[in-house]
Amino acid sequence: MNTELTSSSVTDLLRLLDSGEVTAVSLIEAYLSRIAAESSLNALTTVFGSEALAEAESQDAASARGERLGPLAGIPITIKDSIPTAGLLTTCNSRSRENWVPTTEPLSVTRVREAGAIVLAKATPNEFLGIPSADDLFPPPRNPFNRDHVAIGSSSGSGVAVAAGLCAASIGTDSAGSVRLPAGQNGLTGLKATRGRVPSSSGAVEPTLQVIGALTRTVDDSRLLFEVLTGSSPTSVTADVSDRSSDQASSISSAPRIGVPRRYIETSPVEDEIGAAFDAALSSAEAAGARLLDVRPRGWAEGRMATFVVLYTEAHFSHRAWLKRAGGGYGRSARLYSLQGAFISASDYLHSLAYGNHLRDSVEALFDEVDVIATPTSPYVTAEAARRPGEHRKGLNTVFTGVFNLTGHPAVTIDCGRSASGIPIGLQLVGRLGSDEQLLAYAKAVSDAIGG
Amino acid sequence: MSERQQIAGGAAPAPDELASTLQGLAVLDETDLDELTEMVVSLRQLANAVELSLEEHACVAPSEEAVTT
Repeated sequence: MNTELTSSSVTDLLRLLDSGEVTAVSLIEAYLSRIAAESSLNALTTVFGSEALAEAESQDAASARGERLGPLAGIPITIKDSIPTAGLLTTCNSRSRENWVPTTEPLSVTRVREAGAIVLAKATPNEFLGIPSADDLFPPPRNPFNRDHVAIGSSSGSGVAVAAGLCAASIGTDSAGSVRLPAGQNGLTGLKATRGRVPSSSGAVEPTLQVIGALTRTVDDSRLLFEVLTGSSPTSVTADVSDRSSDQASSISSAPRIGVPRRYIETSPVEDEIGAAFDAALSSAEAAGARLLDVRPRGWAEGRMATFVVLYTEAHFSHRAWLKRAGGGYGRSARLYSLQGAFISASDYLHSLAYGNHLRDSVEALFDEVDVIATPTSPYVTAEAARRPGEHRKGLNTVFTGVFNLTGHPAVTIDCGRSASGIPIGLQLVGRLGSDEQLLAYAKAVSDAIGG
Repeated sequence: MSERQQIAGGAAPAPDELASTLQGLAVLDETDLDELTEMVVSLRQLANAVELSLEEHACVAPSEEAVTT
């Protein structure tokens, strides 16, 4: 088994494919071997082995004919199994959709597939928006850094799959942190883009909070996937990556002003290990030239509350027809979580949206003083701590992430250390609305400073 | 005002509200009904806290414009 290939970044794999040092078929074979060896992680629901090999053979043949391939040609990816994929089984980890093969998919997913990425498998999600329960279709993924613990979600399988070398990148969804939290807990980069930049639904109504995003091994990979998801990717592959990296690096300050909401962090339920890793990362960034400035955000706690009112109300809307048709197939947790929004009034829902608009403006004003805002990604190290029922229902596990789904600001997590249990700890950087490319450039600079 | 003070006051759904809202969507046993009730109370507390905060910030002061069709 070639573990070097299965631990390489997307950017490095593209170079190897471009130079002919590896073929798409050999890459897919390496990853399928790894998947077979790591089935106990429960990271994947459905593996499309023969389909992936056939696609790789087709791409190798096209390459041999001198045809120009897409910017992700040959890259083995997984897609969270709650994201509809046209023509591919999409179970949502729910018995209610055990045999569902959608005919449509979000435009951003189509872009990834048309860019040549090869879908190896669907990655295990939480069943819809609940917490894992015994009657889910598949068991919960284990954390590859410490298999005594389950993995944080809801894009838990995506995070585990990338970290364990079962794919080179994974596409997940983030409605309150579900790309950033599993990326952070698996030592990865995960970007939640500015609302509206990544087409994130194939449904009749675009959810307010949900953003499709990639979980990757490096910040460079995150940028590459972001460009494909947004439809802004150039047609050439490796040469342009370094060119764009230079362009973006030159557009950011060499002494970035990092805003740190100390008071908000101190009054949040942050575990000691998280706080220590966060402080150490900021010290490294400061030593590399960053300036740390205290910022005093207002209303973030209520913003997190409003996020969950919107999330559960819209979730009930999206599940209502399925509950009527196949509610018996829902696991206990998913059934209850998808029902609670039925008891929220239209007025409550609109108040929460209004709060989001108010907060969006006040968060945006903070960027008059700083270039990015830094927080821990998760207040808790383990998924078990994040899922304590009383806290999970109030969204305390998303105390740093959820508010930016409501305001729409871009936010990215990068790796910033390890807990005593070996489980990685993430650091979140938040940027001005629409500044996703700059935010990734700052993330790259901070990641380099802290040795990521 | 602390978060704890702000999230006081979520109302539990009355039995007839539970029954009518769940009709056609789910048949729940007593244990599930109890847990759903707790979840609804918690969610309504969050909604109340958001409304209180909005009023504090005068973001939704009574509008001078009448809402008409």
